[in-house]
Amino acid sequence: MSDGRFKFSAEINLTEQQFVMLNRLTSPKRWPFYITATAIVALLMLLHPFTFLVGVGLFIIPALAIFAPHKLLNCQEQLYRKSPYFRQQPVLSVSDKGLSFRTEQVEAEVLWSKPTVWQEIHGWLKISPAGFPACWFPVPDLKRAGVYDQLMLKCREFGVKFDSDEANRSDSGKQFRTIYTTYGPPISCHADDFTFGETSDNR
Amino acid sequence: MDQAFSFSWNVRFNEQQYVDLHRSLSSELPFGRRALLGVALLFSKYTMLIGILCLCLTVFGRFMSRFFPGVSTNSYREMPFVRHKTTYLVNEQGLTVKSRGRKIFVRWSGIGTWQQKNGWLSVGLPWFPQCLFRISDLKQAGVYDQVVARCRTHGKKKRR
Repeated sequence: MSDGRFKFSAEINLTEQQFVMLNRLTSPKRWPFYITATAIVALLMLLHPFTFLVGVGLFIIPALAIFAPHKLLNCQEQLYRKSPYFRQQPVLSVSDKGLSFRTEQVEAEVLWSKPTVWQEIHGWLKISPAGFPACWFPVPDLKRAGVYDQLMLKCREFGVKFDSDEANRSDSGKQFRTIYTTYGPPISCHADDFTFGETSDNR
Repeated sequence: MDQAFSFSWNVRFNEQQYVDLHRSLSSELPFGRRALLGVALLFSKYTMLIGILCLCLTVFGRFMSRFFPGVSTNSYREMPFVRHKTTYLVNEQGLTVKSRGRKIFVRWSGIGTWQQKNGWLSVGLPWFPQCLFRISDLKQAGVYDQVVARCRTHGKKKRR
């Protein structure tokens, strides 16, 4: 541990409600404002025959958001329900080399590389490497295992804090562009050194 | 179905190849048809606004795609793994996508949607990038029937 090496694994059990709450990119505080603003614009459009159809279309968005959020395209509820992985309690690991995500069906690993986004929210540390599912770790467990400080060093070395001044953004596309502009081309710290954990090349 | 097989290929896409491939696999209406639809909607005063929106989105999507998050041009520029050499592997156990610094293995029971289009077989791995194979390569290697049979058994065929 003293030479910078560390490893932490946890079986993560996120309910749909937790998953939605933790993943929502826009703050839940702002959510009612967006819904109300869209509904008002849609209502105004309904008053004029030329904008009536657009108004009807626009009105569907806040209606779905309130009464059937899981029907919205790419909403967190839908992502959770469509994804087989989170219902299988994935085993997430993090080490000085990278992150891994393991379920009955998937074995995936990624080395620490830029761009990575991290965020601490409601006692969870979320680490989102590009092209890889976001990995969640309970902060108290990380601290108890004595790996929290080393992990945060890695997060700061390879990533930026979500919604920080450094990478102020509102959606994932903008978020990656911001990071890329800030840090230049992505770099992998271990070059072609692929494997860690149990996944092996000779499968 | 239990017969062992294995096929892999390596590729390093340049931006144009990557964008063209993803455009050809996409189920979106092509640029010309979207533009025609937008123009057609301009002829009624009730649909004119929708037509203008449709045309604006079509033109912006085509020529200023960098402002749209998630489109293939942006994915190529922003995702570190896309620009590296990538190995796609399929065998009787599942599918593997391997590139510098990242390795993903998904068992057949975990695949998502799949489709055959424009000479390519793409198999979706939920939460991960799709696995891509040239159909001609699979046929030449004699594994095409086994791969497609497993896609039919475990995956969901993408609707056009």
